[in-house]
Amino acid sequence: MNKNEQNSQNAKDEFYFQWHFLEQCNLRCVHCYQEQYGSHELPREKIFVIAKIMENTLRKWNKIGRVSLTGGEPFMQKDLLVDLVDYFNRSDQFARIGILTNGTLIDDTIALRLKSFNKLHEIQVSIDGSTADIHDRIRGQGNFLKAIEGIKILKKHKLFVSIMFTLHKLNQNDVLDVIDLAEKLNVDAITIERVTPISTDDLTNLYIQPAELHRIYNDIYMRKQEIEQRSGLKIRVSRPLWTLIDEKIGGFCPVGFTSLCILHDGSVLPCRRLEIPLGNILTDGLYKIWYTSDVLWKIRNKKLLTGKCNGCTYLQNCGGCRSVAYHVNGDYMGEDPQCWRK
Amino acid sequence: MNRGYLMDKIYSLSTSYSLFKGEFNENKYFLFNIEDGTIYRLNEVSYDILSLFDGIRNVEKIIELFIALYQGEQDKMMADLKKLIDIWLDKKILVSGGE
Repeated sequence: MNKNEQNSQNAKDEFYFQWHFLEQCNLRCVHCYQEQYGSHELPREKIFVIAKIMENTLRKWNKIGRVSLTGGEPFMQKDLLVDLVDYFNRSDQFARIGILTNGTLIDDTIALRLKSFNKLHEIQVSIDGSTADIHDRIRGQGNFLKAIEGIKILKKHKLFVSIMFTLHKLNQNDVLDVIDLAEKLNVDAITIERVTPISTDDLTNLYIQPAELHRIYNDIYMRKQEIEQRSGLKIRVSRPLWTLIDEKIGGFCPVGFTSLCILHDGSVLPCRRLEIPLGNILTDGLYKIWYTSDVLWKIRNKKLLTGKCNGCTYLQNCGGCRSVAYHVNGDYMGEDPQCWRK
Repeated sequence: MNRGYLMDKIYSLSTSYSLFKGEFNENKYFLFNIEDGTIYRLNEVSYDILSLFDGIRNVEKIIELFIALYQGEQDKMMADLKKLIDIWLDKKILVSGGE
């Protein structure tokens, strides 16, 4: 079996949970998908029931789990976060753990605690601009410096750090500088993810038109080729539309196939940005949701995609983003409205 | 075990199970246990028969429909079908229900 076949096989044997176990957050970012921040987390015993359900389900499916722990802001409940990392670290059903954070609450003490977990493979810090001026416009004053400090602390403790850059109209001209910043900070990877416009305001203020997105993706790709020759920084391009730039990159979204999103109250979504509730893990369990959701079954059938995505030459390695299709045109099976193919 | 049942008995699919028909990984027919996660890959015939147990039709009617649908040797088909129903009742895939 060659490397690509092995990677493909590995992907089929894996299942990814993105678990927003907290709703609380210390920031109020302009583009946040949350509408509320005040709900308390579930009682501790229920949180660990959710973890157990995830574990038992993977055992039944004979799959190995990856879990990303996030919020809200996961570091707002550091003890709970560490206990959850510990739980998954001990589990035979989970191979990798990640934390998705705004980076503003990280200190040496917590970094040292996290270092002890061998399955903690990545801490992703959100950075929305290469300068405080741009980043703080989106995430609030003073938070750029805190996030950079958080990254430096994590790197000091030799943890794997990635940056998540959410691309939109307010920061699109800064993307190359953010990549340069990532290299300067010696982070391990950067993902550039286009924003999902979940409101009409987002559509007006944040949404990038296809032709412009094409130009930006080309610029990123050229910088990627340059940087990856000289440094260890990986610029991740495994999401839909990237294959239109280079057929060797990109990827079909795993939603409905090998991933699920769980919110702080146990609600289950196909993905965080596709806000169609599928049920609740505590009352419905995962089997009922995974096996009986009409939404998931539709998403799994590529022949049901409409518009440009239907029958597209690049379908196997793209398929567009279902959440962007849903929020822009109201149809999660519609074409990706940011696809620039004619 | 040959469970005794009456031809006018009515059964339905247990709420612990869900039938699915569609294209997925080259398989088309599934029976899912939504409580313990077990997946059964079915053939078309099993899927069709199970689908008939709607909690309204009795066993006699279902057998009639099945024989008309698949047109085979009646006695053999009836015997095979009765065996299947026994198995499904034993596994609690089918439960008593409806009138």
